Amino acid sequence: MSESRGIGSGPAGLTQAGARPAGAGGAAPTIVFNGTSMPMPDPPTLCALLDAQGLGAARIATAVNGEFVPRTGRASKRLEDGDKVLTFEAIVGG
Amino acid sequence: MGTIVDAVGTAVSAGTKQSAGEQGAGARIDDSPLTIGGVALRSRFMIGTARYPSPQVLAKAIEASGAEVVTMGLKRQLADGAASANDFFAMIRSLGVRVLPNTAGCRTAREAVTLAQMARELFETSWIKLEVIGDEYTLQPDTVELVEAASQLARDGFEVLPYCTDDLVACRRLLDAGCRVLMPWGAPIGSGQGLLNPWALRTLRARLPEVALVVDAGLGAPSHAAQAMELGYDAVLLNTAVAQARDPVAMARAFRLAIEAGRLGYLGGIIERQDMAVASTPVPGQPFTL
Repeated sequence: MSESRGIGSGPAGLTQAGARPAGAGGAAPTIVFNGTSMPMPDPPTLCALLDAQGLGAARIATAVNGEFVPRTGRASKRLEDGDKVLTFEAIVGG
Repeated sequence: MGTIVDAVGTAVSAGTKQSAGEQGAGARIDDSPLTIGGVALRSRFMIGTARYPSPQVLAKAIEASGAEVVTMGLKRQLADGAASANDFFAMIRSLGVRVLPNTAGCRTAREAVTLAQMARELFETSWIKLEVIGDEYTLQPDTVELVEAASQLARDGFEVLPYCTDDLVACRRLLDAGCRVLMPWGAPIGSGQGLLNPWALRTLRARLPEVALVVDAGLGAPSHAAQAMELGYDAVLLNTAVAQARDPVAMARAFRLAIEAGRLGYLGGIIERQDMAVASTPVPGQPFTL
């Protein structure tokens, strides 16, 4: 039984997969990383994004638009404009 | 620390189940380990890791509990991506226990499946405590979503331990979906109320005699755990009752003893309840009346 039970403390965001804000014409592509909008990394891969955030070697799990992306797939996972990326870490739980 | 069975002169060891009555008074009571997913567990106490006053108390409580399985969770990281200061997973792993990750906070089968997949990679285990919550007040499971998630995860090779209600038909659906263990609630999570519906739990035990059953959630006192084990349940999982006790380490030991006592009581064969008195002393009538 985890303290992450209950509203607001669970893995919110997983159900919002696929919701991509429409970008303005000509605007630089962006992604949403853990709720924060930021420019598309270069190269536009999940691996590059995590490296840019200092999380390349971190013990975390990742999901893009609500879909799990295994560690082995991060280098080849190409990000698209408006993609939502979430990272998860281990916590205590019941 | 010796087990309670040592204190009373009997012993518990791996082997076939056999009541003391079949062997004679004071004989050894053999109890086979609880096996989940091919893993033999000597302890029938599973413990959660949340809500402890400190990581140090958590570690001591786990040790005092004798638990071999502890639950953990996953949470979304902060917007800045910074990792938590405490590396709980490393600390838990150093204790030599098996981690059972949960899907706490999930409201749909899709969320639970995705979180389970992440948990499998993060915790390096295919075991998953499946939670799909249907009501924010009672935190009771959404049975429909739970069965759907269990089905998907079982097909994907997970060992699914579903947190469920005590509904027999729902439990059968979970078994049909591929679950080999069921974890019905005793009471709402963290409520400390004990076994609110012993009849339902007793019914599950009677109707599902070959299934590993673990009472999960809502226990408060060691006597609640003993009651669950006396019903024939295979194990107990709890968190708040220990973590939020005034002395979590002492409470962990208390629950450990209660679970062992309840298990011994079940194996020993508890007498049937009687509506009227049954004299214990074999005297023929009144002693001073000729």
